[in-house]
Amino acid sequence: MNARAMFKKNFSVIMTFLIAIALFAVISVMRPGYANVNNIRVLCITASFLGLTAMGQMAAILTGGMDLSIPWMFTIAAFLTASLTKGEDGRLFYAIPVVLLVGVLMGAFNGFGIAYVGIAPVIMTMASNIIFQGLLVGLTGGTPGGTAPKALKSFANGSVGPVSAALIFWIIVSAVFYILIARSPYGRKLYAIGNSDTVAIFSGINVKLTRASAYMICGFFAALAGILYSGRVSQLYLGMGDPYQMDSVSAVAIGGVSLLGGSGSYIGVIGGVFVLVMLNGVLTALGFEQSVQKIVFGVVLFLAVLLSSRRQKSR
Amino acid sequence: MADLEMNQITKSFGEVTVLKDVTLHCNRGEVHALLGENGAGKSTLLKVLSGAHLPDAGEIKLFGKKAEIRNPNDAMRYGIGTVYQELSVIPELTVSENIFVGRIPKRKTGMFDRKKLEEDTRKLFEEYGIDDIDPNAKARSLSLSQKQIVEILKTLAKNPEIIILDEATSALTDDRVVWLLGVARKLADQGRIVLFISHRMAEIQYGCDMITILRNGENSGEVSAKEIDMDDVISKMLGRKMAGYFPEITSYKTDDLVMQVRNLTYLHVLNGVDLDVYRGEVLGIGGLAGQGQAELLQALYGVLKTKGEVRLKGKSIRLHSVKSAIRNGIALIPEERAIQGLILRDSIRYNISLPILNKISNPMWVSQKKEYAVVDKYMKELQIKADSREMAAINLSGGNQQKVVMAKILAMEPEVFLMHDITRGVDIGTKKEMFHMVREFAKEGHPVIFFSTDVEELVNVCDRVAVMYDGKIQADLQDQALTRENIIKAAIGNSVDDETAVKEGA
Repeated sequence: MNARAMFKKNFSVIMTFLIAIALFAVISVMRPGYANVNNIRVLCITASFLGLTAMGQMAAILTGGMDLSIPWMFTIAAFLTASLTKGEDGRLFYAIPVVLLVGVLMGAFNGFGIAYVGIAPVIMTMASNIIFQGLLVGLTGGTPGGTAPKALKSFANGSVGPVSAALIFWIIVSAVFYILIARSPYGRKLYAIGNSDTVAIFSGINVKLTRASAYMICGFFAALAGILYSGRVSQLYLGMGDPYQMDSVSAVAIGGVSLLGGSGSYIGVIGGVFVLVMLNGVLTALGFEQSVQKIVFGVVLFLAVLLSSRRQKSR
Repeated sequence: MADLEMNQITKSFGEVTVLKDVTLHCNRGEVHALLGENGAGKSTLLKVLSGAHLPDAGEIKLFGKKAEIRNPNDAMRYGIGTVYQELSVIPELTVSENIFVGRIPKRKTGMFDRKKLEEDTRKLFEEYGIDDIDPNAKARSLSLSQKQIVEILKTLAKNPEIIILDEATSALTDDRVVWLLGVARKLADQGRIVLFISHRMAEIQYGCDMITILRNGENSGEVSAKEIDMDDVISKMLGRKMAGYFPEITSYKTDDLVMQVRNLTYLHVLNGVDLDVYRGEVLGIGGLAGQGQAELLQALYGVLKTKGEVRLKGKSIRLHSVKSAIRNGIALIPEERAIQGLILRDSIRYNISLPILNKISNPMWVSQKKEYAVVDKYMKELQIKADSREMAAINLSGGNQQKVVMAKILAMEPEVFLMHDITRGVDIGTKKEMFHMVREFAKEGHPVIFFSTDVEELVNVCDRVAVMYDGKIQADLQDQALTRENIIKAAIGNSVDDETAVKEGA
């Protein structure tokens, strides 16, 4: 493939990155001095958390579904980390696997309802999001609290040289995820069932199991992000995962992944994550209120979905 | 000037031109037959008239005026009524409700006027001499032939000026065929036009006035049915015989019993199928549409949950999923290549490697080297015409798409091939290649189960043909008994009494 064909094929991905860079340029011009090492590091940490949840969301969306239960899987993971470790570093070695397993199990619950019972993904995950919320509020008595072990705190807020540790972590996990999605047989099967259940069935793919597993992956990444985030904040609070519900969908959609499933690349999603984070930065830098920011984010999600469906039709 | 004129009709589907400048003229009072081989364009031509297909070029004139037929509703307004080849009766409605479906009489209050409906049905039955069907019976309880009659009455009840009978006799019992020819004559005598497609020469000779012959989507002649010269008609139908279109059949059949199917049952569609399949044979599956052929193939491919036993090389196997079928070396070339066979937006490479991803992977990822090797091998072997292996399936012609599906199946390296009407919508050249390929599989020692809706293909490609009727094997035909006549006879539910025909399971 020559350079031009390569460019054409990846046009939307390249555009996404260009938009992110353009937004960053806007911030730098509007607020000279904003683009310092510290702020960039904060942007990168924000991007890392969104990026981790967007990975799981992408797996669900590739199959033609969506996972709206990320917020409370995320929050449960954070609270569970705190309560299992009781703030002690030494307990992390078993706490982390247990929390990740709980994330996978919550995802399995979603996957079972969607793939085996046949409930519409949006409804199923919206309902389970409420159920997870109820569980956590019930168990904690509604009182926020708990704190993560020191090691987790220093990891989530720390740096390796000038680069934040969270960003490095996200890059490493991204590499593994990229191979899973773009290179492994499993990834091809995810795309296949997103394109056509029927063709996938006739090709000998276990469609139900594969579809359910996408939600398990989503639960895994929501939990992973939740664990890390518990170290990011000084004290845990209920509703800490809420922004990731629609932001993860936006990042995936802006990244060029079809919301009907079956197409789009993870590299594009990384671009989508940066566009959202930069947009947030621009709005903050310009001093807009929260309310305006919400409206802008809503409109961006709307446009991303519109563009994605346009692309579908023009095929 | 004729009463009905279809002039220079041209129609193509993708790259396949189905009709080229076809002209059809007929007059009031005429029963007009269309004759031609399968794929000659008869049905397509009549579908243009009934508004099911929009022609690419050409005009239709009705009684001297240009007619604009863009959809079936337009056709109905012009008084064109079609009896469809595929039965569309609704099983849960009664016979009279089916006949008047969509036009059920209502009282002033908007309520369903059952009295009027019964009265209308009675009149219709009297007019056309029907006495063996209960108008209040649920359509589900009717035989195939009776359902077809309901279908015919449904069209007649609309009082059309032009009646299209597309293979309407194929599902009828012999006495009802005579009845339908009588009805056609009566309608013509009333000054209407009847258009008639049938593969049975006797019906055409006996019941029709004029014959328009089509060949490969072109006009090949018009003759009067009264002064018919058989040899002339056949040469017009076939034209110059395409050399080697059908393969020469050398039997590679062995006594090695590979697959045994016993009492295979699925809902009311498969009612106890028994089948033996031997190494090296092409076993045809025939019958009218909807007799369980498609379900039989899907059952053997693990798509449907069935009862009964399937033995492979003597060992009983469970076919609870496609995966289990593939693991047992069974592979299906499915009916709908665009729906079941291919992800159209994906590349040839992605499509071919989909079922064998695990085979061509290193532990973690798909090996590009192995994938390219497999894809290139089968693209070359099947002569798939494409710019590259990255070309999206949607940009390929029908024939090449079908080849990609075949490549996908071949790459699975199965033992037993199941094929569902693999030549549908495929150009003649590719068809020929496929027939030879099927024989080649048999030669290599594979059993091939070859379902076709085309009797000609069954007779000319298979070693043996099992004809299905009502979810069972009605006849097992081979050697001298393997004729078009026997297949059709069995397809409409008659037993084939030739002593060379072995009836299975009896």
